[in-house]
Amino acid sequence: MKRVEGLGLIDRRTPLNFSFDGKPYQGFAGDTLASALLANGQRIMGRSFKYHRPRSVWGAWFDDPNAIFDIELNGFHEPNCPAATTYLEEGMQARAVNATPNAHSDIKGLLDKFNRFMPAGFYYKTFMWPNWHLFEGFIRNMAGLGRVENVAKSGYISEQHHATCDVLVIGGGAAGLAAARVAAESGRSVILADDHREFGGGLFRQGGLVEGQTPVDWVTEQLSAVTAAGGLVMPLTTAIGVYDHNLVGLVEAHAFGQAPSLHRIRAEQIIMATGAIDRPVTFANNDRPGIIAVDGALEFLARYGVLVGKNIAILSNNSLATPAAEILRTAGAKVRLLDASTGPFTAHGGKSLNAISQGTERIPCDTILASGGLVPLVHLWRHAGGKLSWRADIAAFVPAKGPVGMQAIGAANGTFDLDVSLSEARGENLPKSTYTLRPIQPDLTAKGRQWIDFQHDVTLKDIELAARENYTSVEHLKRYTTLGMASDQGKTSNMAGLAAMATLQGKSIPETGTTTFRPPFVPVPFEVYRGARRGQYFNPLKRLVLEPELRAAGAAMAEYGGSLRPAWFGSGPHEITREAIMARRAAAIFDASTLGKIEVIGPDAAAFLNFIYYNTMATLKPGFIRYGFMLTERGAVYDDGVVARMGENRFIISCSSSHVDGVVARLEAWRQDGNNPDRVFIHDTTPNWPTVTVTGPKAREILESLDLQIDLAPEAFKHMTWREGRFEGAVARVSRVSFSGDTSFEISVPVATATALWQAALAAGKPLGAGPAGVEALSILRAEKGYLIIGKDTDGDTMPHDLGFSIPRQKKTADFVGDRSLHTENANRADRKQLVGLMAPPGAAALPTGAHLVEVTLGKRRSIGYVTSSYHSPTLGHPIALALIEGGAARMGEDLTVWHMGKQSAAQVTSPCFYDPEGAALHA
Amino acid sequence: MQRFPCPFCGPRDEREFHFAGEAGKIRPTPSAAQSDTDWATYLYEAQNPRGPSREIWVHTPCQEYFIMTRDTVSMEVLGTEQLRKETL
Amino acid sequence: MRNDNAKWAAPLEQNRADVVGKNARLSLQPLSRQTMLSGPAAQCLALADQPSASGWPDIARGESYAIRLRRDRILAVNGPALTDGWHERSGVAVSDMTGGYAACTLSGPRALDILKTGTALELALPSGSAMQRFHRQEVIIYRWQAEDTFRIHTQRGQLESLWGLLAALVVK
Ligand SMILES: [Zn+2]
Repeated sequence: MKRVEGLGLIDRRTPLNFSFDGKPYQGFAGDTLASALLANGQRIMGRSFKYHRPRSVWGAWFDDPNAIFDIELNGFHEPNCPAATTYLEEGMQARAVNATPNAHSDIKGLLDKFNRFMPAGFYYKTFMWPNWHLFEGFIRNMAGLGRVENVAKSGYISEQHHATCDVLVIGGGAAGLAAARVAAESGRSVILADDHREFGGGLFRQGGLVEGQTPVDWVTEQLSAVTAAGGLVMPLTTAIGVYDHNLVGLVEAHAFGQAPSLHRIRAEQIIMATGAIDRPVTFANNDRPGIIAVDGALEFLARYGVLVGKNIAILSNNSLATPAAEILRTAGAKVRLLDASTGPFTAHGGKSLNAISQGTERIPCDTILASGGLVPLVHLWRHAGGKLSWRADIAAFVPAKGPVGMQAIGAANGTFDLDVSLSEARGENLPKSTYTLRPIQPDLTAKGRQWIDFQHDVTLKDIELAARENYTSVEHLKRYTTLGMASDQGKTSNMAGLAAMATLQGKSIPETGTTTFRPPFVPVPFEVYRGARRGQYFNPLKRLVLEPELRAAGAAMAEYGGSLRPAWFGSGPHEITREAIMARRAAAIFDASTLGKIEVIGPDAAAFLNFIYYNTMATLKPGFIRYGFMLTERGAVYDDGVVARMGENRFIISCSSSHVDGVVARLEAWRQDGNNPDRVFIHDTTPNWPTVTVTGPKAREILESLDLQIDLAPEAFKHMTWREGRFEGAVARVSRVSFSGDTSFEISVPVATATALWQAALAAGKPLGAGPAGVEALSILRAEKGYLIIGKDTDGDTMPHDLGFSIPRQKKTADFVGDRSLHTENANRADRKQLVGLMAPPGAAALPTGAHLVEVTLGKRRSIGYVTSSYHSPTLGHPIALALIEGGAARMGEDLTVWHMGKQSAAQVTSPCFYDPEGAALHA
Repeated sequence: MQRFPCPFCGPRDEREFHFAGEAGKIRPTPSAAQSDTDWATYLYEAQNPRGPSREIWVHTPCQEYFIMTRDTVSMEVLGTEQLRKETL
Repeated sequence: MRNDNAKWAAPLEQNRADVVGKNARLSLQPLSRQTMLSGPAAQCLALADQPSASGWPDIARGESYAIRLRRDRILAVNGPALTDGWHERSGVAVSDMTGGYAACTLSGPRALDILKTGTALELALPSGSAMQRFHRQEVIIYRWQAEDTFRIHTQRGQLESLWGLLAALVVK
């Protein structure tokens, strides 16, 4: 291996220092890690996955499955970088993965000696008894690739971009460049992407002139023409997937350590000019270091000036071998051509190669270049749902019936001659193709191991075994042997594997079929898919207008149903009890802004709500408020809330905080689908009206000092009514509704007034012993009163009559959502789960939420329900709980068995209302 | 990702749309008069055709409900219609 | 029970400083009045006293203008203070949303590129509605006065996440 003067695209004036497995080396700017190591005579670059066989590169770009490195640079570490596609940078420290202590001498190399004990399915068969988990740690330790760090890389953020264009050309080789130029010059918007730093694709390795110019000059001219016509060229950009309706995902690489960018490009037309790669030849010991793809060797020479061997044997079945031999000879190698279709061949040597033999003839060589024919890269075509057809003359699958708006050209389309390719790209008449090939198939009788998948160590024997055990479908074969499941996703191994299975079954390759091609085309960091939506931007919570005030008052903020709300105020969760007692003895002041304020406006509003709600809403009078349920069409309770009638044509729905978006969506769906949408409108004004709730025996006193210009006397302002007042000159809507069981006022004001209202309420409450309280205390208060939370105290099957609300079911005559479902056999069952209260015996601890109530018949336990809410009640001084229990309403006073995590306890069924059952406090 | 045509906004990415049901499924009225079987059919039975399918979709940003006919095999969008009922 | 005060950064001051980066600037946009009007488009415009409503990529002009949100809904910005509720004569529903939406302005040559990191927005792809999704967040996006000046409204509770996402992109 040596550098050849005058060849390559590298910059020989810029040497770069790096290390591999701890040893220092030097390469040049423009090198990949693989080319730089080869130039230094370092062939061994890794160990195989299963047997830890020494491996070198097979390909010069993404078709190399072998050389995978952990790389560190300036404190940044990245695992699993393919050496053949990682451009060298000054100071890189690379280490082969899957090799201990290093690629050259791996202690697990001994595994190779036991290979006959580790056939396909070995892990499945061997480590099942008594339990896979006994072996898992050991095997995972043996099997892993790169080392993954547990800490997130700071600043490693992938940017995502959206774009559209008329024509997206994927692949900047001869065909792609020519097609992009034609499209751009015809006035269409063009994006041309190629995964290398330099455009040109296979032009450099083919040698010779292109339309009378050197490849570099020709490429430069095409690129200038594309950009001059307004096209955009994107180097270092790989198309990783084609998705529905011509959306293409492209990943743009940046300097090492910088996260790649993701481009989502929607193109009217996609031109796939992705090229082709060499299919490996299946022969004995074909995984030895120094056995390289013909095209790979030519790439190393043309792009990096690296001649991969001195004494080369070319084992090929196609017409490209002769020009390849010529190029290598010119570069100074001794080359011998062998016909791969004659077989069987055997490679000889260990870490270094010394010969290839056919029968008794032994041909000394230090390098074998192999090609079983070119394989078009049709992955993107299949992502998009395009069909493939088999072309026997080139022994390859090529694009057939295509997806709308997608076209394949050049080598990706099975067109391997340069002049034919260019004509195809330009839509001209095609000259005659000169590429020829002699078909090959693996020799099942040959001695020695013949590798199919280099990275995953799948051999021809493994495929034979799979076939013998009837894993003959290619999808089964893949999973049983792990063929094609390595990080290269079978780019190189697939065709060899299909050929082997076809031969074993006496079928043709097209009869055997292909496995599914899935994105991404090359491995990409998860970061690419994550982008900016990370941390608090992943699923951002809704924030309260009063949040600065709440924090200043000592709030511990936590997530409740998509909003960030105060859990409690003060030094810790013990404050919750204090807040609950304060609420019952004096008053508590809550931020209730998240409660829905959905306006339903229009002449049909009353009829619409009457249809939406289980409860009759048409009879609600302006100034009044009614509690109600929204059901699903299946009759299950979806939301509970109150409806306030503002006037003849205007209502405000105050639904549960976490259901606002859902309720708005349901209302809108019913409005447009089945109603006259000009006569009722839904406005979600929730964020426009922050709400402060004051609840407790001193609530009225606090409100009096707020000067709301409302008569607050109990007989003038009754429970379940609302009044419009003023606060500091702004509108203040005050509702007498309660979620605590005590006298409560909800005051809603415009955003600009909310802070003043909150401060005034706190100031007025302080001398009375009242103060702020959080969501947790409110949860206790409402449970004491037996007020339920939908989704917590109900499940997806709970109907209103299970909660004790059965009058509309019996009496309401107008149609409403879910009505018919309340009268099915299921709805009428006597053993439906119904909401009840539970009391633990005196002195017992609170029941665990989620604990089951069980019935024991003939020694068998059966769940009859479960605890939905459970607290220690500071007001009552004992634990309380709510539960959904089969036939619960008929079980009042019954003693039940509670079962939780293997422990048994007792509880008695009660009414769910523990506090103020007569409602004196509520109406006070 | 598919691209759907909102009749009001024009073409937008699939992630902005929600499926809202098969077109032509009308809530039977009066509901109280429906047999268990008819009601169950309304609630649970879907055609799920292979090939052209008429469906109700909503473009969530602008809340436009509309009927879209699309091919469930080729993913081709065949057309859209207004859902809004003519004023009676 | 968790205390997540540290996980969720406290909201910034309402009179926060502009975020300035290369070829882009982000600032909070105070508005004196925002009104949501639903009904037949012509009736909404008449009631809001506006000649037209901007969709995408229209450029709204002047202090007082209207934005088209839906087939039958507009947002009147800095328009007349209308009474909330049903306007019988026009057949239009009205709600004050002055505090319900918060707005910011993103301007500069890089502004559109910044928006395109989170949404498939194209000047060449007109839309009747100005409603968009930016990094999955529901927003109203339109141009105001200039080719490269964008106003972005969001529900008030989502201002902090919108601001944070935009600010990070502006300074990049
Ligand atoms: Zn739309």
